[in-house]
Amino acid sequence: MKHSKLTSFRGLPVSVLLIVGPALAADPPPIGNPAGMAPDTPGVYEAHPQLQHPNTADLLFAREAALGAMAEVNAGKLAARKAQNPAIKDFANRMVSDHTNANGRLAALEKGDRMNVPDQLDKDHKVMMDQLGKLDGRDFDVAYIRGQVTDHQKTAQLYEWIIDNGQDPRLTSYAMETLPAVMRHLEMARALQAQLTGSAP
Amino acid sequence: MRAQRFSWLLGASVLFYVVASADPLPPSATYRNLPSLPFDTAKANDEAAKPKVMQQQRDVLNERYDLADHQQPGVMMSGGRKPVQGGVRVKLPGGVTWDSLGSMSPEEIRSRKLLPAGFLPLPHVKQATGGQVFPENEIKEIGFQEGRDLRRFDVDFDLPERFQPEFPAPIFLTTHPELGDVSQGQLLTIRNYYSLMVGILTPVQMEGLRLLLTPFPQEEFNQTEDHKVGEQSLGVTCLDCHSNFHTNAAFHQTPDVRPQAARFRLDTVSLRGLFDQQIHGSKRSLRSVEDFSEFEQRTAYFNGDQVSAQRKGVHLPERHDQTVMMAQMQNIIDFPPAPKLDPTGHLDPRKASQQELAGEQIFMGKGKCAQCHVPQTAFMDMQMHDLKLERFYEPGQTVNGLVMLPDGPIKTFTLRGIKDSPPYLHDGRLPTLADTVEFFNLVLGTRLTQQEKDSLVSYLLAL
Repeated sequence: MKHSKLTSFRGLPVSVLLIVGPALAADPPPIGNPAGMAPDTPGVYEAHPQLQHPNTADLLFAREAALGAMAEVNAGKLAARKAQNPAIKDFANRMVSDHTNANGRLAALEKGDRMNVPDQLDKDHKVMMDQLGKLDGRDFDVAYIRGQVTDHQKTAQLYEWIIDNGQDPRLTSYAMETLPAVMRHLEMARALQAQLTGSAP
Repeated sequence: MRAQRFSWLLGASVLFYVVASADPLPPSATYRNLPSLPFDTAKANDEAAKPKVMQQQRDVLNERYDLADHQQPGVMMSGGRKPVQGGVRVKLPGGVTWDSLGSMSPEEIRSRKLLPAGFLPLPHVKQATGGQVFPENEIKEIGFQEGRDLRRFDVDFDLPERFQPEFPAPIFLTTHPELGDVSQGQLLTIRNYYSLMVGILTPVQMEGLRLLLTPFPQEEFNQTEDHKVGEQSLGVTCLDCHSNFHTNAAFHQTPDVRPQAARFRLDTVSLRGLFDQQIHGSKRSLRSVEDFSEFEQRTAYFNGDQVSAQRKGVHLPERHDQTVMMAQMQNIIDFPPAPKLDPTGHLDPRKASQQELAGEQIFMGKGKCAQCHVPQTAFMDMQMHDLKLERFYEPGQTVNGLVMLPDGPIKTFTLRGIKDSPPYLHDGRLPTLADTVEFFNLVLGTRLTQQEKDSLVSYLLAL
């Protein structure tokens, strides 16, 4: 129990973007129940709101995804330097490069509009970084990789949530295109965690 | 070691505080959002979007399946009114055959992205909204008999009529095997059930039937501003989906998964042979049909969201006087007769063809089918199993709003009368029995020859 609590970092990394493509490569799914849609949304009668007209869910996604992305790169850089296990080091380097790519695209999407992306880490991630900073050796490796598992679990749920709740097709498309890589990272993190701790893969 | 543990615990106590105070995911990741638009606006919006919605689903179906009319020669469904469709309908990716695919490892198929798209979870026609969608014949007949509207303005049914069960389906009763089909070729409704069934059923069964035919408010069919039919709706009945206690292929989404994009499609299950079934629901594993009848008001009716249910007028059947009677009615629904099966569920060699007998051998042996579909227990094992299809594909891709994710354990369904129940699998992703043979040949790695596959299909048609 303690172990799982120890590493239940709250975090929402924007995982990935191995797929680099145009902003609307995937056809956004049709908008469902217009929950959260403001009555004055332009294009509402065609059920395809104009671009750059995010709903509340979109704004929330933009914030959480950006926070996670920032935290992911920060933690990855730290782990690339501090990790003892070479496999963890490789994973951390991959997180930094994948997420740096993804973050660039996300930042471009979020520019302007009403999406005010925070410029510093939230409290949870600050504490996470603080904790990681105090650990060394195997303790650091285990804490980092357990945190990565939890972060990617949360990210997967966040991305799945926006796919059917968002309104701005730039964001839902981004989520759809990025989700397979989030799943891949989660699979890698679970495998590393199993290797390191003997947990069930 | 001690010191290491100590540092763990120290960390744990600090981080526990952080977890407890962390921002959770938004409520709409679990609960249904309240609508924010007036009904007229939502309706106009949905209607304008409908052509594109249907086109997107047609594109998915055409990419995956050959949906043309290829009947299985000489095989009709149990009512004798509808031919059974035959042949493998799932399309292969370029450069492979079913045999070459069957000889590859799951890892190779996954890394080369060769799993046929038709083997992946089938999306709801409009994933974000979801809810119950009825086929045209059900909509027309209920409209005609009851004047009750089951036609949604935001979506239509997607699969062609030839891949739906016979309508209306025949009804066989365990209490009256001597009568055969007692449906008189009609769809049971609240209007006609009494005259059709008086003298055949007991008073308790009659009351159960009446309740199963009584409309109650449902997520998309109700009197609030959040409904998906033109007028305020009286609701739906249990037998609107399980028409004549069989299935009409109406579909929904699993109530057991969130967020919405992860909820897989559910094809209505037949209620035939319910008396032999020990667990109920593809994922829910409810332990009695009484439990299930009671709980469907939380699930099929309201997506597993009791908060939304309360607002829209949920009707919870009374446990001691209503669900028991509903269960008594459901428990006398028999499988259609299978004259080639003996009392232990095995083929009678005097009646079965050589091909059917060969198929039975495959079923029991090389095909591994009987390991779960046990003949002596109505071709079920009262278990849920995980086929681990994700060995063959990378999870996370989105198809028409549904994220392709592992299904996890799913209940073993009966195979008695299986030719009457297309489409196949819990979500209806497989149009024909030949598709199911190819699917399980791949998933179980059984490497059947074409002749063995054909024999197996022939056997399944005899069950």
